[in-house]
Amino acid sequence: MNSFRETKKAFPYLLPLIIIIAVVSVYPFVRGVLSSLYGSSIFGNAERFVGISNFKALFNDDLFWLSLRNNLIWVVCCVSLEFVFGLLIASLLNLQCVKMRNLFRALVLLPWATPPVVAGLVWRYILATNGPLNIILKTTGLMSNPPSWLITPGYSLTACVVVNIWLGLPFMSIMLLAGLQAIPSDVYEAARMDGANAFQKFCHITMPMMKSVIAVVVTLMCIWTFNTFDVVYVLTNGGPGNSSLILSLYGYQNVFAYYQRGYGASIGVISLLILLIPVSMYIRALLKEVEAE
Amino acid sequence: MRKLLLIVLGSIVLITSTSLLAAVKLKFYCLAWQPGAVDQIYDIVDSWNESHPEIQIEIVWGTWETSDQYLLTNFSAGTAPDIFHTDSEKFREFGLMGFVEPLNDLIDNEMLEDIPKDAWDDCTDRRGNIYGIPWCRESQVIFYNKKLFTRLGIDLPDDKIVTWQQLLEISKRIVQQTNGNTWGILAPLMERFHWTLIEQNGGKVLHVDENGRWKVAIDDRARQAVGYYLSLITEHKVMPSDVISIDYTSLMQGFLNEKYAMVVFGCWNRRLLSEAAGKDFEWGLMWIKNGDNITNAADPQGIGISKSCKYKKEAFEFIKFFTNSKNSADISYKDWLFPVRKSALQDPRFSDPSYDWEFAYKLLKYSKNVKPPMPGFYTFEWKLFVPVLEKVILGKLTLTEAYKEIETRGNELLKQLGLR
Amino acid sequence: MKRKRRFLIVIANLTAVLTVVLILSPLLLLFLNAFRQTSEILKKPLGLPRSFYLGNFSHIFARTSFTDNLKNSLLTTIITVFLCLCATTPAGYVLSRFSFIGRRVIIIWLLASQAFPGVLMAVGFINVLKSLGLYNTLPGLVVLYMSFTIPFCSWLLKGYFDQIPISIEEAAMIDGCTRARAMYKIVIPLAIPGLIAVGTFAFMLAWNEFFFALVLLQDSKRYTLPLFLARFLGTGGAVEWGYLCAASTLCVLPPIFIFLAFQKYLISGLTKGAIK
Repeated sequence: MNSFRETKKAFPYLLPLIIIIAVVSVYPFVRGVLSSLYGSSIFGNAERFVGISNFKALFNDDLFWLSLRNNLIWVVCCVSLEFVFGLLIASLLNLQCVKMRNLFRALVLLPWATPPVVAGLVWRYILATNGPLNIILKTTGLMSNPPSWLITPGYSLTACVVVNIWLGLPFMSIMLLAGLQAIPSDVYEAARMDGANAFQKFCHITMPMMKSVIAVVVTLMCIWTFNTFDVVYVLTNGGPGNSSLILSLYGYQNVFAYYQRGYGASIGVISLLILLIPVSMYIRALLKEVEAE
Repeated sequence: MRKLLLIVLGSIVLITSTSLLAAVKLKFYCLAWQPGAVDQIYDIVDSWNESHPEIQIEIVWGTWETSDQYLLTNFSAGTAPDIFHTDSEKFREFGLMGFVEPLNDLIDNEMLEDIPKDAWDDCTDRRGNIYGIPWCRESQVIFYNKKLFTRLGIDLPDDKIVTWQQLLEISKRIVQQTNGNTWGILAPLMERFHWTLIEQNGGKVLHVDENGRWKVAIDDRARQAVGYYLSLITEHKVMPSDVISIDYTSLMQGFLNEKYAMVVFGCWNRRLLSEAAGKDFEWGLMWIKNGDNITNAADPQGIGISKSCKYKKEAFEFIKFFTNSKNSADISYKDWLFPVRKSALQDPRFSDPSYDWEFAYKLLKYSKNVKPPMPGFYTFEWKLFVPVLEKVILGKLTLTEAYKEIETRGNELLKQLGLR
Repeated sequence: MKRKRRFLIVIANLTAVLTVVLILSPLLLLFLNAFRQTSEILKKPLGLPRSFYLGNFSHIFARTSFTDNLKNSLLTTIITVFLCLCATTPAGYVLSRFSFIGRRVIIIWLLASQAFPGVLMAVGFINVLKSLGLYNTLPGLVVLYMSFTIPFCSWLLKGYFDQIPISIEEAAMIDGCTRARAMYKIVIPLAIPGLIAVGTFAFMLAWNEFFFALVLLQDSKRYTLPLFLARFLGTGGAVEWGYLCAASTLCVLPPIFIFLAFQKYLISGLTKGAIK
């Protein structure tokens, strides 16, 4: 009864949100999901209901399995490396002894503000056969005959991962830094009194106290990374030989280049089903706080 | 005094605005992208707009990668540009769909005779409707590293056209003599060299019957051609698997770095090499033949008028001016390719030996559209054909398996697309 | 012991400097190459500009659709930010202050919508936008941008409103203020840092967005900057690196300035909203 009255009071504030969400989110979402059940022909837009045959066709499609595999490698590599380096950078910037920490923090964050398209284009130049990276590798003697990163199947996905880490690292670092700064310093002080070394402090204080922050940031990053499109599109466009094809790109190609809209939509549906796992973890982690209020 | 000024200013504004209102405004969708050609086109359109205040042209720049999508979307929405530029064979395709105006009544004899028949054919349907004015085309060439060839003592025949066998032998020599430091040749899949070879060998992959139903069947001659192309990589190991890449910068740097001794590209690519090559690098052009078949990919381009254009006569006036002998020669020259008009080709710049214009010009006679004219060819090529060839290149599939996969899955795909 | 400590301090500072240099080097390279000619860039990939060459900039302004595309980007981004703020302020407020029926469902939807694959949304949107005449238009693009900025930003603002003690507005309401007035006069001014955070976040999302622009905009005059970069200068055979770097530099400067100016708010907003 009480909540009904609350709802009535909330209604004027709530209405715009509900309308907007319904129009720009729920409706297109439902339409998108439904269109995965339709097939289309190259002549005109006449679509016909085909049931789940798009999904059946996906099951036999090598490129789909390849892009799914690449996508999983992509997410795991990007997020885990971002986490490791992010934690290192956050710890570095959390040290009292590092001078000009605020300036450093601001500068380290700049890739975050960089449009992914620009990042992809700049790195395409850096990673070219005779690009700056290979020149440095050769002149410093680190590698006498460095590969062409973007045109060798074994390296193309790695190249995409590197660029995406460059873009994603700032967000990860800064969120972890916020988590580190939230740990009261007297806890460390007490541990030091008890004679704990740095490693012990990290394992028994830092990690446990950061647990919830880490859970949220990592799951959020997994979700964002899973659906990435721009970096790969600009850097390799899935090539060479589809070695860096990921689901978002394959879905896009089917809808917008191959005249197979429903098929592309069904790739989106599969992505969504896979994402249900990290999404439910993310929502649970955040709702815990909401419920705790 | 002030009043007078206001009146003068006011009348100027009024006059210019009314004259602008009265002028016919036409949108011209153009796909040229090399900086020199873009500059030239701006200059030509500016000069037209100055001398024709009643017909004002506005350029809309497009890109090759998206032109089909752009045109089809805008045709069906009724918002297509009045005048548009695209691949020659597309005019027929779009014309049959009813989006393009047949130009037969507007074309005069001078134009008809000045442009070769095979160029017209690409833009003409079976009933003889001409949907586009052929404008320019190129010849496909093999770039080779001159200094490297001299150093290794490799001689080319006088006409610089070698047979399939000779190309293989030269490539083998290069790999051997450089101890594997340099690959013989690079023919990127995106350059469709394999389609040229299929054409040179008289092969066929996509067949159409009288009812317009399409079928994938790789005949023996096509198999020979594709087999030859792939054997350079798999059997003879004179071509790297880099052919699957689309990263132009990396590939060109490989040629400049002596990673590849020869590369297959369109002749427009001379522009970049002339800019990017250092002083100690020299390149030349050569080509390949099968018997006396010297076919190379022409990628012809044309200009047409969309059905929705309200001022077709005016639009055609502009096209006539834009593609006249002098203008088409100037633009093509800056685009490092060739005009189709015979009179424009008389321009001595096109047969100049510098930058191998002469050689590219000589090959132009044998230039031909090698892409099979199937709607949805792009889907077939990039979703199925190329990925399967890539598997062979990367050693994941044998050639026989590949042909079988292309035929069975290809026919399924054509069915999905509504082509069977 | 003391010497060892000083040594560690030096190492830590050095590592920090190195990290910053390493992370910023791609951007530095971009800025330098904006002042070099394409042929020079290709001949000497790693080099300083020989002279302060401005030809790349004059070319992109004079001979490409850059100016139009810059305007489009600015317009789309500013309108997106404005609409986003207008829509998310009451949304964040209501999510923070009321426990209405269906609140949980709405919150779950807002959070889950971050996982919706772009291709699915694009397919769902395109027919609707076509029938509304918004296909290939900037207003259509703004609508698409609403679909991913509003959900997350509502959630961010909710987190921010949660920080403002409810007692302040209750006191005002006891003094005879209506709730709407209390929100407008008291809560919103207190939430301005949060609004700045949300605005900055929406700005970066909209300015940097590529996928929806790619599938929606057909006309080069209507492109946004990322699309212009990828389509015009980035593909089509040879890449004009000089022009590309000049245009990229101009494209990357606005978000960097906005970011440097407001990062303090952005970070605190994100930590209060998204993470906490």
